[in-house]
Amino acid sequence: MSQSVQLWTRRRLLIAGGALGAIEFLKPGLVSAFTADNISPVAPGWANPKNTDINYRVDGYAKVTGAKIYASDVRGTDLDGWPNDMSYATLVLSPQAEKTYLGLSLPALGDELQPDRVITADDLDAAAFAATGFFDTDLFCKPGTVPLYLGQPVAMLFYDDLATLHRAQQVLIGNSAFFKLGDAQPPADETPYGAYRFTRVAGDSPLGPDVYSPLLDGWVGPRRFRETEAPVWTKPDATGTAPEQASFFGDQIRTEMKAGKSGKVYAQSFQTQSIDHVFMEPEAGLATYDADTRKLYLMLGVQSPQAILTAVGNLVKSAKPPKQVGEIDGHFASLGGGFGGKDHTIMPLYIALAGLYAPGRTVRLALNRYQQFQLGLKRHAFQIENQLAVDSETGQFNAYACDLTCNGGGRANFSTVVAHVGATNASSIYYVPKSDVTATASKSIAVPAGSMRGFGTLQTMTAMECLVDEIAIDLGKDPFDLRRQNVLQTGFLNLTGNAASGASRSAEVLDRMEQSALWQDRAQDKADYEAANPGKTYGIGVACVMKDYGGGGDATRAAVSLSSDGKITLHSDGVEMGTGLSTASARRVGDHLGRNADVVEMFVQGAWDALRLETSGNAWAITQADQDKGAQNPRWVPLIASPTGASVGASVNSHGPAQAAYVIMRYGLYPAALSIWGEGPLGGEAGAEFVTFDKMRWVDGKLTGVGMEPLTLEQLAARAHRDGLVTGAMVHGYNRWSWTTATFPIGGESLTLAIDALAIQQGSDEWSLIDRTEVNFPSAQFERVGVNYYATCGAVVGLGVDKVSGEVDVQAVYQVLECGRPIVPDLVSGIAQGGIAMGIGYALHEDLPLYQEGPGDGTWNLNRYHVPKSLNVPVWKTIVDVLDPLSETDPPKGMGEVVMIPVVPAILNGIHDAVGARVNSLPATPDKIRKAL
Amino acid sequence: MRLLKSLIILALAGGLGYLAFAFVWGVPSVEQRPIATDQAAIDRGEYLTALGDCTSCHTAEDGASFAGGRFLETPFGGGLYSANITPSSQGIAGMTSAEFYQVLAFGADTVWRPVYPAMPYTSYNVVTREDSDAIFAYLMSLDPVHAEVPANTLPFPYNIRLSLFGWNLLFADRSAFSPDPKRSDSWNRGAYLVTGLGHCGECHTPRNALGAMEPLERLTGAKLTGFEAPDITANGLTERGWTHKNLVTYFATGTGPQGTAFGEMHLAIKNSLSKANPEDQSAMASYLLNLDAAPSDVQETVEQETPPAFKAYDASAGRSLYLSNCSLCHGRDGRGVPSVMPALAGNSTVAQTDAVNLVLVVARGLDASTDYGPMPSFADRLSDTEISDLVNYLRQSFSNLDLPLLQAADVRGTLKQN
Amino acid sequence: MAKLKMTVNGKAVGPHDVPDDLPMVVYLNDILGLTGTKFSCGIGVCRACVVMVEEPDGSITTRRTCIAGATSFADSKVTTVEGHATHGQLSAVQRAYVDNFAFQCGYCTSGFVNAGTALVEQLRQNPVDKNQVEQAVQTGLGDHICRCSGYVRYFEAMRDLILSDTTLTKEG
Repeated sequence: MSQSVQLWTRRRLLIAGGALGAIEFLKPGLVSAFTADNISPVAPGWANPKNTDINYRVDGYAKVTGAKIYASDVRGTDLDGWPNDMSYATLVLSPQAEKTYLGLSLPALGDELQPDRVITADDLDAAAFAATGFFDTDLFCKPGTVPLYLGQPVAMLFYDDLATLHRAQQVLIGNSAFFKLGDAQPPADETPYGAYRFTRVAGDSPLGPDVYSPLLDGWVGPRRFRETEAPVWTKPDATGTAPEQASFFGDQIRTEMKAGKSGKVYAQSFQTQSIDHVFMEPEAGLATYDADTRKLYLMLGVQSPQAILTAVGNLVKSAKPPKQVGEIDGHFASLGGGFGGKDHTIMPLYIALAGLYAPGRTVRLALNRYQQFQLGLKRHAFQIENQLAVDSETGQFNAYACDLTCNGGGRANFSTVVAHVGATNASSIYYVPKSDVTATASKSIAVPAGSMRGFGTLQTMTAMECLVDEIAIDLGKDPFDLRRQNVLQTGFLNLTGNAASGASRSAEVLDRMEQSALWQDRAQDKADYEAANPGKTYGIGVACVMKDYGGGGDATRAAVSLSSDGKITLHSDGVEMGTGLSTASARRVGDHLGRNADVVEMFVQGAWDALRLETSGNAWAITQADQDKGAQNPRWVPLIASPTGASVGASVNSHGPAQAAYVIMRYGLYPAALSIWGEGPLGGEAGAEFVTFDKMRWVDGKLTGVGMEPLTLEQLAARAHRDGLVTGAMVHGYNRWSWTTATFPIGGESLTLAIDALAIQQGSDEWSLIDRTEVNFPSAQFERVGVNYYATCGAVVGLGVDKVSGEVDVQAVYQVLECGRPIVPDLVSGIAQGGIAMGIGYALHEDLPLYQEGPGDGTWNLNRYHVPKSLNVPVWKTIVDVLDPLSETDPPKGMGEVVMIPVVPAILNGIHDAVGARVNSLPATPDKIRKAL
Repeated sequence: MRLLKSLIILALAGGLGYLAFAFVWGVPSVEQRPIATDQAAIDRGEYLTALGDCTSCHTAEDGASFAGGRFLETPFGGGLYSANITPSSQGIAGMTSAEFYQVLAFGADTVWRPVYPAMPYTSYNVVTREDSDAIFAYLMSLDPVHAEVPANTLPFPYNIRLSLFGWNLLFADRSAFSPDPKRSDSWNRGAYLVTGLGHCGECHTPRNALGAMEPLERLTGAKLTGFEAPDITANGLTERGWTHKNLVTYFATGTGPQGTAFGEMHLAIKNSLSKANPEDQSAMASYLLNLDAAPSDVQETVEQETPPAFKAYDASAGRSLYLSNCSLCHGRDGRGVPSVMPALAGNSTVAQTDAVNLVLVVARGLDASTDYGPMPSFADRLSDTEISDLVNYLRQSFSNLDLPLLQAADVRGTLKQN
Repeated sequence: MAKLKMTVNGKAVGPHDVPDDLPMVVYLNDILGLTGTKFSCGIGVCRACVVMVEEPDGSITTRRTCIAGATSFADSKVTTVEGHATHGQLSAVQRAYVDNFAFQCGYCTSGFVNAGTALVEQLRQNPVDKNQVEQAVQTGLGDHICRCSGYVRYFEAMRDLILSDTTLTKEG
């Protein structure tokens, strides 16, 4: 059993045995007293033969004993074949982006701290290294130019001595003396990264068909940008092209609202701030380069391994000797937190460069916390202008107009996607028959923003939930009644004109919130709190949101293998970022094989070579014709791999393992059982019964059904291996707001699964690839859907406010979550509890100035960036109430993001309930609350 | 028997005389004025309330603002609880603006209940009636907080309130503010704020045995409980490197090249000085540095351009302790990190002559403030000798003043007394 | 430079030539190879880097290793997260965290293991009233930052552990 920890903690390919062996580089001759046996206690009980609830996380033992599992833990001596000699690199980041950068003043470091090597933009030019594709940017600011953004790297310094590195890093913090600067320059081109207009006019029924919608007519972008800032939309024409019609209908909706034809119009101007992910593990990695073999080795901690390998490939593809790269060997560790900030981060490109410029050494590039604030991705700050037209008698929502801008900072990253995801979710849980939403992703010199838990919807749905609260109060309506009345019901079309997947259970979530003791006993709670806290006022706030999960282009790869002695090994191409994906994936394997996977390995490069997948084109923009053409090749898939993000762990990443395990059960274990049960004259014990696959049940870790003798996994595995039955399955699945399905000839049958590639192992054979006989990729038009997988979450928050100081103290949170079938309930509620804390931080405490004196100046750290501590969180009074699935066959829904959202508007609404202050600018600081009074 | 009788009569007569004195002199009468209720007065009052830093004393930890109940330790043993100054029955409901002014400026609105001079009426006497009325208007506009304040725990004889009138006669100045016509308006505004609402002298002026400020030693630095309040006379400040600009920055942010506010001063910055408008901050800095106007930036830049050259102090024990225990935050060269870690080089606390605050900070550490992380305490891990080595290293390396070397016994003495 | 010796997880280490300003966390990570002690904020705020120290009087305290030089630990008895489990068995605090799904990414876990264990040791010397256990947990763990969990399960795990050990509490 100890094997699960061993393999889990160190990816087999990279780490030699005895990871804590002698390390001697600071002063030669030192030998550490430690051996590996200190750190690998066995993990009894993991395999969980009763197949009931999971007892603990598969990585629990490794994490609680301090095993080496993060990229920042690893050194050259830990890695097989990597040089033991280390060098340490550090980035020099520009604290300004307004003046011309003229160069680095290295003498300012002093004689003792001179680096052993320096690389700058010139070195990259000389070797023809360049960031292209997704990361198209100047990796280092060129002398004579203005930095593109605050925190842009200007150079990388290398130190072969560790103590010197630490001294140099400390001297560099917030020290402007190293930068030679010229004159101030006007800002460079600030044309937005992109913009969208989502206009929808319903027909007679909320169920459709619509008169006009993005789903029917296509997505609309602007003609150009005025003065490089505001989008200019095509001139309106009721019968013209899709963009012309969007302008026509959109303008019409706004004109009607202005003229009072749509009811009472509630307008709201809402601002959200920039924040940092503050994952506990700052970004770090190792690289080494072998010039002889032209091989580049990487050890990284990222959410998007495949995208990063591609990006590093782009970086080096045109390189000149002596720095040519023929092969990249990437290794990917568990993450000490991600939250979106380690998805498509640019840091690995610098790690790769670090390795390329110190051949013969293993180079470690690790950000300290100041650098993480200065270089790491940020959450987009939003400006939201909402208008909701409501029938003031009935409370029915009639029309919705919204203009939003998100500040993407100095690199595009995912800014346009954040803008459109924010826009298409902006109406929260409500149905509105007419809507016109514009979204602009703007460019600035701020530290670049990227994906972060909530991905635009946190911002827009928070605004909407505060607006709805305002409307309920103004119309004198009950906050639950008004919400239920307008809720998006099953089949109703959303802002893109699409119906959500599955039944809508938002009303049920609202009911549960209303029934909670926190809401029902609010008057008593208020009296009690105010008696115990004289001068402070109690308030209660509610909010409910539905957040999309999935990225409209998500892939899963998984391989499950069963050894002859019944041990299950799972390879998944997801990344363990703390959410428990590895545990949940192992559990889904257990659904089919009666026991959770014994060994789970996450993202091992090359583990899926047997599928020989091919792809072409851009999965998000492909035409139907191109897709149909691609589909003729049985190796072709629209997309090979996607990041662990967008809440896809449960829905996508664990889907592959489940499908693979099903194949083994159906064509390995089931025939093996039949073989055992059928032994003897006239078909043995099975001869007298009609035994079918659907009757199979795992009971106490043994397979039975129709009264047959229960068989252990060991018995079944031995038989499957002996008889050459299926003992391993490797799959690829693709989801574009719908699963690809394909049919495969196997076991003399035609098997249709929600996958598009399959390889199997029979007995103890190598992998063999099975060509699909039919495939149904979701139509290319599905890209217009924008949103259709949702999880719903509502929060009731009780809080106290000191009216004079403006201080807020969150007292209790009751959260209701609908997430389909929770794979591991303890993981679901744990993630929800963390989401609540993060929501509290976003609502009340966390804030970063975008420009001057913001994180780009290199002096930000946790002393003044206030991540919630336990005293800011109602640790003992947090309840997470998860709705039961409709049946055990409900799909698991992505819930990692939605659980941090409703608590934010619920807090703002609670502040209003307590003291009457409506704060429409995050975070709700004491000063803002006092001013709003 | 006769003698005893005489003594009793004498005591009674004395008592009656004292009572008569208290009635006649104790509570100066002031005119009644209506409570202002207009928003402008309330807003002005809110600003002045911040300048007076009423909240720091009148708000208990985790308590409602202005609801009192904060415990104030006194040097006489025991202590006082601050009053509830919200308009509730436990607070100032029913008070008139005249009574409020009497308490603010003279420490009593009735002979029967004079307040203790922990309430700085010994400074607020210079506050104008108009400003007092505005503060009162603001406080009366607040929601009443019905919170009882615990009883004081002062020992006999300090618990005899009536005796305070005698104390007042001896020590409490009752004169109004009189501007100096020879100085600028800014200087006079600064003087009004520093001596009045700002009540800086309450901490920074030494006190006599009966707890009264020594009038001849105004702002020369003092120590009540806990940390020492440093010398903030113009000479004292200049000697430790303070400039007008840095003082204004310090008022606004609690930090500057000369150091970072901690202890009570952190509260004073957070709740009061940082909320003063830039003109008032500048005026206070001008008064403290005895300047009629803020020096131009050019002058100050020239002044600061030469980085202070610190002496190389050869003390390997102290340096080793510094590198190991301090340098990872404050830097090998003591320059700190802007907005994160206070610089020690040029730090005003390091340069304080008797090193009391420096020893206390090293030994006991500091709680996290809004912007700075916590400073660990070293009392349990460093011996008196090590602390004196470390402190000597800091003072010799990071200050240009000729500061005396400390011995382990000095450290012990400081820690014992505090 | 000083010749540095100390005891880590019960084993003598050193003498090592270590500069005075080399952070303890770097000494543990890079020289001893013990990377369970984590670097996160580097300024002593988040406490991911906390280790346990046994004082000469036998009492247990915790120290942050990112803001303290390794030489300031000279001759100390230090326990890191790697030193809690023995013979493949988790310590009571480790087990409580694992069984309660207390952590997610796990990067703050070693600090919580050390702080939690120090808290248990302190309560063994000075038991608290049963109705003061939640406050004791808050005092013992409240300065540690966790970004994933909202603290709920760490705190519940420690509360339940303390309440289940009768030597740590008294009737209140």
